[in-house]
Amino acid sequence: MADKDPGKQDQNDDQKTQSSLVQKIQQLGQSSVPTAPDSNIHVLSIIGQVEGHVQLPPQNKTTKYEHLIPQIVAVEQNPKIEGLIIILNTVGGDVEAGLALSEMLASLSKPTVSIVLGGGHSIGVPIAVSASYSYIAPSATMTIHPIRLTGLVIGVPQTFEYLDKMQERVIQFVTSHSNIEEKKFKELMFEKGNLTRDIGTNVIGTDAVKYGLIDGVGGVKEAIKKLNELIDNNKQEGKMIQ
Amino acid sequence: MILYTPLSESDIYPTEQKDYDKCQTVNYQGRMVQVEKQDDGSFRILQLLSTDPNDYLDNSFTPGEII
Repeated sequence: MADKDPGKQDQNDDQKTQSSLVQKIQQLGQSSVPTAPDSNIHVLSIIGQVEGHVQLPPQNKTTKYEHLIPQIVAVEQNPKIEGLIIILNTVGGDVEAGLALSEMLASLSKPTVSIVLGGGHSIGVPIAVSASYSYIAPSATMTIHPIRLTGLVIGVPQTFEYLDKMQERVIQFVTSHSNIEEKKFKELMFEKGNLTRDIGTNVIGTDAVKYGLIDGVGGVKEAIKKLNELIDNNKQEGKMIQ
Repeated sequence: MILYTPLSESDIYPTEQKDYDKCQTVNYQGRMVQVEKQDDGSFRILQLLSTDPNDYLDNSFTPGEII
């Protein structure tokens, strides 16, 4: 009798895991994924619109900067985290929220690598270049165009000045955190005839690297490899100081 | 219907407050998750907000999970 009981228990457990597996497949169309030990690399995904001061309607996919900023602080503060990978597939969004994220990422002491997948448009450009090293997928694009204002606009020359200054902040950030020349970036920004009904340029993967905007063409494999390399360098430098 | 107006679509058809209220960000088992309220009062996970890649491997935080 006593010998039989554990067997029964096992069977019950088996059934339980099996039914939860079936439930998972029914819910999501996929089975469970394996678990792994603690990772020294953390990942920050910036998807959809970068949401700033105004909450967007729920049908929009957004990345809220108030969610990301504490995460960036936590990454900096936690000694177990040695590197950060930033995944970008964004259509742009709030200029100030985007610049805030870019500045936070640029001021991290830990190595960061960004990958632009699909699209890293408008304010996605400063976020992409804020990393220590940036990658772009060959098929990904980045739209560079002048910034714009929505909502109430007062028709005075000062409005233009304000907009121009805002744009200057974006240009300054991008040119100081990437290898692109200010002249070239402005040229791409104000180009005519590339975008239908708009001013600007849609820069594709390899071109972004050619212009010096992004450091390399690649995907996850290259990004992880580079990040590990940067982490090793960082560790060695730390040792030398000590 | 074709609208010919300088107003944006959202100005003409504003989003209802209840649509905003349906989505919430809550702390679930020590992690921030974005949830959507179901008609029966339960919550469905829309998105996990974490930088730890291992959290994304945890089944209890998979998008679609009911909590």
